[in-house]
Amino acid sequence: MSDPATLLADEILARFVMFQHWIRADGTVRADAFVPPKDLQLSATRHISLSEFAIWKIGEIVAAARDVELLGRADIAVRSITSAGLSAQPAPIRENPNHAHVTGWPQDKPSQKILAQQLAAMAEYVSKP
Amino acid sequence: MILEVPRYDAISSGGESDAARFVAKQAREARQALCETYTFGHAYYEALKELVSIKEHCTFPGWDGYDAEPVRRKTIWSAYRFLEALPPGFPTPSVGAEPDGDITLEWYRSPRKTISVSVSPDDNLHYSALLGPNKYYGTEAFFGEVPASILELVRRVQS
Repeated sequence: MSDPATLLADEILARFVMFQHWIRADGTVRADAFVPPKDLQLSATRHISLSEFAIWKIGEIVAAARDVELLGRADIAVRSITSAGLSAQPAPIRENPNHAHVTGWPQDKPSQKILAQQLAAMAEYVSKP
Repeated sequence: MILEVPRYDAISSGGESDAARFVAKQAREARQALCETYTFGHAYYEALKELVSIKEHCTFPGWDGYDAEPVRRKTIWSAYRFLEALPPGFPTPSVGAEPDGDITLEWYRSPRKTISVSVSPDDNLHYSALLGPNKYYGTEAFFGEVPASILELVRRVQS
C-alpha cells in the first residue's frame, strides 16, 4: 500500500498506454502520451509498494473501464518530471490507491507539447507481457 | 507495387464547397501521379492510412483509456489538408492524436531529435521540436500551406 503524502524523487510513475499510435516502431513512446487533458491533471500510477503483476493489474482495470486494450506503460521517474518544471502528487482513487497526477502544466498548447516531448524522451516504454 | 489507397471520402470534411472539392480533387490527382512511384508514395499512403485509423479509433470520448476528447471530423479534414500541402517528396510524418482531440504529425529521428505538430480544429498548428538541448515551440495558422518555419524544423530533424 502506498503511504507518503508526497512523492519521492526516485519514485517511478507509470503512464498506461492504451492507444497504438502512441508507440513508435522503435519501442519508444510518443509525446502524445504525455500531453495533458483539458483539466491539466495527467493521470499516472505510482510503482511504490506494487509488484510488476499488481502494476499490470491496475492497468488492466483502467483499460477495462474504457473498453480499450492495455498495450504497455511508459515509466518515468518523479525526478525527471520535476526536472522539467512539473510536479507530481498522490491522487488516490477507490479503484487505484496508487493513482497520481502530474500537474503544473502551462495553459498554452505549445508549452505543454514541449514539456510532453521532454517527458517522453526521459520515459521508458514497457510492453505488456 | 500496388498500394492500398485510403478513399478520399473516408476523410473528407463533408462540409466544403464545390470549388474546394474541385481544387482538392485536382491536387489529389496530381499527387496520385507522383505517388504511383513507391519511393514517394509509400510513406504518404501510410500516413493517410494512419489518419483513417485515427478516425476509426478516436472519435469517441475516452479513446485513450482516460478522459480524451473525441477527435472531430473537422480536425481530421485539416490534418488531411496539411498532408496534402507538404511539398512533393518531402518526408512524411507519422500520425497520432492527443487527449485534447488534436491530431499530431510527428517527424522523428530519436527522442531528442523530433518535431511534433498538433493540428487543431480551428486550423492552428501547435508545434514543438527537440533538437538536442535546444527547444523550439510555437503556433502557426494553417491557411492551406505548410508554414516555412515548420518545414525548416522538419529539415533540421531529418538532417
